[in-house]
Amino acid sequence: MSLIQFLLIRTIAIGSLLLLLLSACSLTPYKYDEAPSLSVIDRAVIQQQGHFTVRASVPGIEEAKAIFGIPLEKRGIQPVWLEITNHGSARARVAPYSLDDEYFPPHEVAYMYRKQFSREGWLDMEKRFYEMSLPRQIAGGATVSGYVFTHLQPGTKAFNVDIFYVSDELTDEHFTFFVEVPGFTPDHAEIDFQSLYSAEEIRDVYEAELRSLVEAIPCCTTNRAGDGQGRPVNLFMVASGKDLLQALLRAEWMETSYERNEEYLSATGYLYGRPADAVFRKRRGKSSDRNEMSLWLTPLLHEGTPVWAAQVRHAIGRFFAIGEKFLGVQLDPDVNEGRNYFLQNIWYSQSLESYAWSVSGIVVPQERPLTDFGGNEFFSDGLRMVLWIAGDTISLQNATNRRWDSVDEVPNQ
Amino acid sequence: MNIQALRIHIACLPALVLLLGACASTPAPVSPIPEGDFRQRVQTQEKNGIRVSAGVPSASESEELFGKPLYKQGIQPVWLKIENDRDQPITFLPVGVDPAYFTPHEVASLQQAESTSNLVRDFFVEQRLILNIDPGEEHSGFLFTKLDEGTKAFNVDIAGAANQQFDTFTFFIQVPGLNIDHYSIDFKNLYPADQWVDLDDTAKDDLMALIEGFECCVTDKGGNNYGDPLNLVLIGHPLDIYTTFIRAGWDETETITRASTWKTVRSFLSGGEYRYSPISSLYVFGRPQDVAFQKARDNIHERNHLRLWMSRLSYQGIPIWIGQISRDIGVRFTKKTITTHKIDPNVDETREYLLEDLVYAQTLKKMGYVGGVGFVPMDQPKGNLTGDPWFSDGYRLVLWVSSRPTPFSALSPIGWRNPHEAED
Repeated sequence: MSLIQFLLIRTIAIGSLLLLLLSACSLTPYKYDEAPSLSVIDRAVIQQQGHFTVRASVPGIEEAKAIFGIPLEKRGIQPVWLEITNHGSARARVAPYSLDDEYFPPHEVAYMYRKQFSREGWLDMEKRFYEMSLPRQIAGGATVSGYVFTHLQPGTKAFNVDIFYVSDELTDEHFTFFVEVPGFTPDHAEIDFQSLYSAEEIRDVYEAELRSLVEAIPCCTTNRAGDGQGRPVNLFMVASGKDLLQALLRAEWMETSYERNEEYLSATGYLYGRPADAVFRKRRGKSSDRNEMSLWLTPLLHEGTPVWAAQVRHAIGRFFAIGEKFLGVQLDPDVNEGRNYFLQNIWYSQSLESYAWSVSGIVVPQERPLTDFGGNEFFSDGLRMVLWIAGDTISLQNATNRRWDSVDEVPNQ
Repeated sequence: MNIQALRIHIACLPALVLLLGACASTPAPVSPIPEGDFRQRVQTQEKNGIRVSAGVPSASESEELFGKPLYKQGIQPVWLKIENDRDQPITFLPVGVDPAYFTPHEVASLQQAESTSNLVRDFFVEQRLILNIDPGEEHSGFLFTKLDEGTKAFNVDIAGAANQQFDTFTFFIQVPGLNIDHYSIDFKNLYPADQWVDLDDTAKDDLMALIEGFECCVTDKGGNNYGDPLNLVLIGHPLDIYTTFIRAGWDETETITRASTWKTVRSFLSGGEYRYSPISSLYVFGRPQDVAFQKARDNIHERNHLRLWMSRLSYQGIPIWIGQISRDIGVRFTKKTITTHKIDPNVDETREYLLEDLVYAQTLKKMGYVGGVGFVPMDQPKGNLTGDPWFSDGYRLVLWVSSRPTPFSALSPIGWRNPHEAED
């Protein structure tokens, strides 16, 4: 057989195979689970405000697959179920935009998955998504329900629901939901915070004493053995666990679900002789550019409210990620940047009640950086920051500086 | 950003000092200042004892300044000078300029050809801005932001030490380098003076009849075939229109040139982002759109775009525009144009998205609906000029836009037609 004959036969064989595959796709009908998604609706979270009752629930990946017949998570889509009752007499309108300003309209979602189905299958799917989507208009006295297709967010789903209506002027009822999603257990859910410290270890103090106790907290994390230099711990937060979690979710930090195996424990930083109680992540611009934060509950309370210690690491270079593992990261050597970014992040997400600077951290000049046990260099201005987190949203004009230490003479702040 | 944060954040936007000066009188075309030295384009604003100056170097100016092609890496330096004439320290918050700003070491780490440490020292850290500015002091330097060509719109937020001391300075700075469509249109002389028709509320029915009397849809160049529905009516001076869409994060559109065609092809093939890609011409009043805006999502195949034509009608002296919005949801092959963007057939959904987008950007004074498109049921869709189906309730969304930030509580319905009349 000549080379040309061989190539011809191969091309025909591949072509036939492709045709066969294509025709198989074009014959596939669209199917989904006819049974109503009762478990999703049963566990809905309910809020009532003004003239409106809103029920919200988020299907897990498997539930969504059953309801819609396609793997929505593969395209980064997460459906959110809402039911809204308008107890008033005026017509109201819900804004899907308030849940996600880049939400996916139903026809777009169907178009993304059309190739798996026959033309009729695609049209059936389009109809299904259209009928299952949340209507915007809610007549007086009416109840509407349906799905909004949002971007996928691992862990607890945090979103707003804004409902507008005209009374004397345009009025908005603003709801904020934090909804747990089946199939994801965040790392902090596995920590028993109540038993981390004994009653003797816990200190409940006023601000002046808090200031000196914060100064005494070790400058940096260590490795597991306690003999390797870790990176600075330059952030502290005063907040209940719930308020802190909600503030972080509002600031678009995502929960993680690390398996605390040997590999993780030997690579991560330690404070109070233990690895972080929780790790959060936040994308910042490009995919390789992200922040990671470790959090530890300290034994301190400020007038009854827990104090948390934190370290923000800003990845700037190439890294290898295998699943959720985060290996071979090049960290920004300027640890002040991570801290300053976090201050603003909490401020702009309207969770900052007040803040204070403490000159009690490690000073590492930029010209003579230290190397942490993971091999990444760092330098630090020696400033630490304490943030008091608001329980509910607070206008960014209301954040105040508690004026502990002056930052005037500190370089690179 | 958290929506409530965004809302309150925008609520404290100041008057757009420089631009408002221009828009207070007659509609003024927006034209760019030529490339050369970005310092010639620096704008300054002052209030409450703080003076902020801002400038944005173009692609070539940035390369000259830093010796690196920062624009190609998606990085845009913004030069700022902040002067504190108060007797208290102030804090500059870079997140207000760009929530995903680049740190100097990050910018340096992207420059792989040379030793990072030298670059850090020589180019980036030396140029950085610092957060804390003492009484009587000034600081200037560069902040590295995500690239926005065309017009760079950003806030400079300054916090004082005490409660309620929070000042926002909003800048709209044109960056040379793109051939933006509306730069070449002389809106003031688009129609002869005697052809303008101005109406007010006393002639509401006449005005609605005139607006509803516009063609249902765009046409092709010959005016023989109808395409997408004209489902938008905007009321605003050219500068109001421009400020509205820039503030809401829409991008301007380049005219078709050899360079822009090449950029479009490259982004089409790679699925990458070319946010200013020229948009095909559709026709109303016998001419292609006067201005187009677009909002890219993940890539060029997924974006929203809208086209506007200034009509010869005005409402209380303010020009009325007719427009069309659609959402690209993918790409498909056609006989006529080889490939085209597939639009979401539910064009009302896209129209209502725009309403929400502009409400949250606080750019609307009034809103309402008029007819004019004609009801097109979902099971009997019409086709646009590239054969994409669309269906609609038949209404046009009327948006009265504003250059000044307008809190949504001040947004009032314009009370024209009620799309839900039958149900209410």
